[in-house]
Order: sequence, then structure tokens, then C-alpha cells
Amino acid sequence: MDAIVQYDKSEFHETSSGIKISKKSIIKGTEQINVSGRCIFFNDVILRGDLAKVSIGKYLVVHEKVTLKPSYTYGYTKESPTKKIIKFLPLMISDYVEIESSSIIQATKIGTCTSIGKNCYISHRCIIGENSIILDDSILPPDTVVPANSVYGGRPAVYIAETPESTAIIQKQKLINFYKNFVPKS
Amino acid sequence: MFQFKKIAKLPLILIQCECGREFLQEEMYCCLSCQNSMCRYCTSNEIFCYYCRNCGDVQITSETSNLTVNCSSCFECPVCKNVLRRQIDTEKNYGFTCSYCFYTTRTIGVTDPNFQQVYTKINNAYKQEYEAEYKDFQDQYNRIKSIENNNFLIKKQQKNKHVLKSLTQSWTKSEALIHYSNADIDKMTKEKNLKVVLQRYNLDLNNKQVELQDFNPSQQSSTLLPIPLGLLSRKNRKCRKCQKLIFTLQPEKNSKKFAYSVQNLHYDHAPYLQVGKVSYVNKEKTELSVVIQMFNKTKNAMEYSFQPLDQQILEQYKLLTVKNLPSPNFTFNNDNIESDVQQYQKFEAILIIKDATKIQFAFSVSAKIKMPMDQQQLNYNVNVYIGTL
Repeated sequence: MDAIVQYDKSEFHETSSGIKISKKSIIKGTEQINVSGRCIFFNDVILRGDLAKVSIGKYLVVHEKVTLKPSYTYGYTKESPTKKIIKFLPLMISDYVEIESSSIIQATKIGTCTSIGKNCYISHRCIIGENSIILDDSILPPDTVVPANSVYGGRPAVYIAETPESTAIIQKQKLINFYKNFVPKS
Repeated sequence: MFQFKKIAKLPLILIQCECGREFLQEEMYCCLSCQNSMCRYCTSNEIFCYYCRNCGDVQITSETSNLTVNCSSCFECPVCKNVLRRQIDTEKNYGFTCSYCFYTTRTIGVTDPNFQQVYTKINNAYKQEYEAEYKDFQDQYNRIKSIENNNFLIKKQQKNKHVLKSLTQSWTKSEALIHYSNADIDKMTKEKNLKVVLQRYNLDLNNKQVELQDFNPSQQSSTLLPIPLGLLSRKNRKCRKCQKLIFTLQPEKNSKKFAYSVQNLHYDHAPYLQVGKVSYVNKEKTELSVVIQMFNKTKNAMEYSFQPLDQQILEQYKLLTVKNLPSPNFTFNNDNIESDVQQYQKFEAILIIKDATKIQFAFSVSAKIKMPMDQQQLNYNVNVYIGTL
């Protein structure tokens, strides 16, 4: 039995596809943001779509004080072949992802059925595989690759354990139930 | 392996394996030939392949004959155990760096304009280290033999026993020398001499005014070599009793996705239990009503029956008695399977509380699953944890 979480309708926007965004969150560059549906964004979430494209799957839950920011590289262009220029890379978040509070995410890709803990810092150009767990208070250095079905944690984050084969089922059920029980106050 | 029971919140439903361990319903496996559901510890593992967690290089055990333990192209930082990445200097020399603690191979001198030669330099550096250690061991061995064979030296050592005693303490002569290399013995003599000097001048080593150095990665010793990255493994699972496969992987050369060709989870063959409403019945709070919901998430028709546990087991594990168990047989029919409607049944059980802090409720369940070929049966025990209200 999952606990029912009630919210004030006046504090949240709700779209036709089931996206629930709090009015206290900061979302920029909505033209480049593509969300599939049935996502929840809590208070003080910062989502930077003005830097690069952001594509988000379904059943994403983003808790308080999370910043989602596209990652960057240094590169050369035809206009400036000698000078290094910052290029922002698109951010891709797959289905059934949960991001706990106060974490900063600058990854390029987050796979399906993953959960990211509290106070995490995922630096630029990281790739997180599917069915993986990142523990609380962990720091992923830049360019790390988290393989599928793995648990990472620590400072710097290091491979700790393997997740069981049924993590996808557990994560899907957890997030679908969370979305169903996130109900406005009557 | 990670266990979801530690993260899960109350109220919980856990399944008890024959070994006594408890797991979530999704984490249990089942063997249909043995007609039993089991935990991960009751299954045996067989390694299917080795893979690198950074580059994704896969070595399947059945295909390759020369298996390696470490990745040939990836390295680990010796300071913070983070995976190293390539670096290019302004002079266009390749090397490795750590993006967390800023360790570089440039300090060791392992850089080259040709990137493949960087690997050869690292391999040569390891060879030199191993050769130096091997030489040390050889020197020790020769030293021990010469001492044992030379009686004159033994007599001299007997006179100077206090010197050896300070080094060896209660160990025998040969054992003491085996454990120390020439360099170590020199170190210990220097330390001993220092202690003697400090004691003369009444200097205190544990002086509180002396501050320990903070972790400063830029001042780390530059003699550390990058460590080759160890490979991880993917495994197939087998039942320990009948040796039949429960989980098998498909042979793929891409380590980013692993698909299973055979998978037998308890979740796929048994109805899913969930705790509904929990509330007190009495004002005195001695009776508790729990509503348990059952979902048939499989594509099979099922007959389901409850069997209460014996009183001996109840007393052994200090379990509660249960009133109003539902009728013994449920049936999930084939009617709604094509339309993907989850079949659902619920029942209410009233519990009598013995301990208000932790409530535990158990019953054994036997399910008859009508497969198209066989009529099979699964037996397992279920424990329901509710917690304090």
C-alpha cells in the first residue's frame, strides 16, 4: 500500500497528457523540451531547455530542488577554427526514472528504470545505463559510464553491486503507484 | 547483490524461502520442475560473459579461449579508483588523467605522441616492478640459505641476540627474514635509531601542535602506476536441486543491453499480493483488520488456495493467529486475459495483536497453475509486515 500524497491544485499546473508541474519550479526554453507524459515536477526544480534539447520519457518523478541541465563539451567550429567554444549536448531521460531531492544532473543520457538518490552530483557527459541505482550523496565524475544493472555510490562514485533481474518491474510499479496516489485535495 | 527489502517501506509483503531468508515477491525465482519458489542464495550461478564497465568490451566464456581478468584498454586511478580518461597535451602527447583527483600519467613520464605506445610503456613499467620484487625475493632466499648453512654466522648471532630480538621478537630466524625485504629491514633500523634520538631529547611524537596534512591530490606521490580495470561478469542461474536453467542470457556483443532468453520469476507464475487498508477494529486496539489484494498479472488461469500454518510453526516463530481467513479456493479465469484487464480479488483478515511494535502475519499458500501442457503447483510461505500504526 503506497501512501496517498495530496497536493493543492492551485500550486500545480496540469497538462492534458498528465504532466504535473509546480508553479514554483523554473523551466526555461520550453520549445526545446519534449516530455512524453505523466511526469511530476515538485517545487524548486530548475530545467534548462534554453541551452540544448531536453527529451524526457514517461513516469518521471523529480523531487524538490533538483537542477536538470544539459552537459557540454569544448569544440571547434568553422567560424572559429582556432578558438575553443562550448557546445551544449542534448539531455535524454528515459522512462520510469526517479530523481530525489537536492541533486544536480548534467548527464547526457539516463536509462530506463533508474533511480538517483539525494544530494547527488552527476557531472557532464555521464551516461547512466538502464535498471541502475545511484546511492545518496554520491558524486559521478565527468565522462563516467554506469553500466546496466549496477549500483554506484561514493565520492567518486564506484561500482558497488549488481541489481537483481527484476529491478525494472519494481521500479515501474513504484512509479506508476506513486503517480496514481499523487492526487489533488478534494 | 543489491536487496530492495532495505529500501522498501512498510507495510510489506515478503516471501520466505526454505532457507529462512525473506525477499520481496519480485526478487524470488521459481523452478517449475521442482514446483518451488526460491531466493537468490538457493540458486547456483554460472558465468556467461565478462565485460568492461567503461568501454563495454565483452568476452563470452563459451566462445573465447583466452579469457582475461582485466580490460586491455581501460585503467583505474590508483588514488581514488575512478576510471581514467585520455588526455592530449599542448605538445600533442597522449596520456591518462583522472577527472576527480587530477592524477596524471605525465608525472610518471608515461606519455607519447602515439597513443598505443602509452599502453606499452605502462606494461613495461609493471614488468620492471615485478622484476624488482622477484629479485628481492631471490636475495632473501639466498640470504636465508647462506645463514643456515654457515655455522660461524649462527654462533655470532647467538652472541648478538639483542639485535635480532629487536627485529624479530618472538619469531624464528628464517620466518623473520622471509617477511622482510632488504629495504624494509633498513627502514626499521632507521626508525629505531630515530626513536632513540627523540627519546634523548624528550620530544613527543603525538604533539597536538603538529597538524596532519590535508588530502592534497596535487602533492601525491608521482610513482603510482594506473591500475588495469577489472572486468565484471554476467551470470546464468540454475536450480541447485534439478540443475535446470532459470535465467539465461542471449549472446550479444553489446554490453549496454542484456536480454534474457529464459526467465522464470515467481512474479510471472504467481498472483501478486498487496496490502490495502489497515485499521484497528476495537477501541482497546487488540484486533486489527488488514485488507489484502491479489492481482493476477500472468496470462494464465489460476486456482489459488490458502492453507493455514500449523500451531507448532506459529509458536516457533511467535506468529499471530488469524481469524476469518477467506474461503480456501480462488479462481482466476481465462475470460479477461485477452483484454489485458488485471484480475483482482481481495479478502479481509482480522489479526489478534500480541506485540504492538512489530506485527507479523503469515500463512502458507499453494497455487495450482493451469498451464497449457501441465497442471503445476507452487508452494511458498508469505509474511506480511505492517509496522506500527
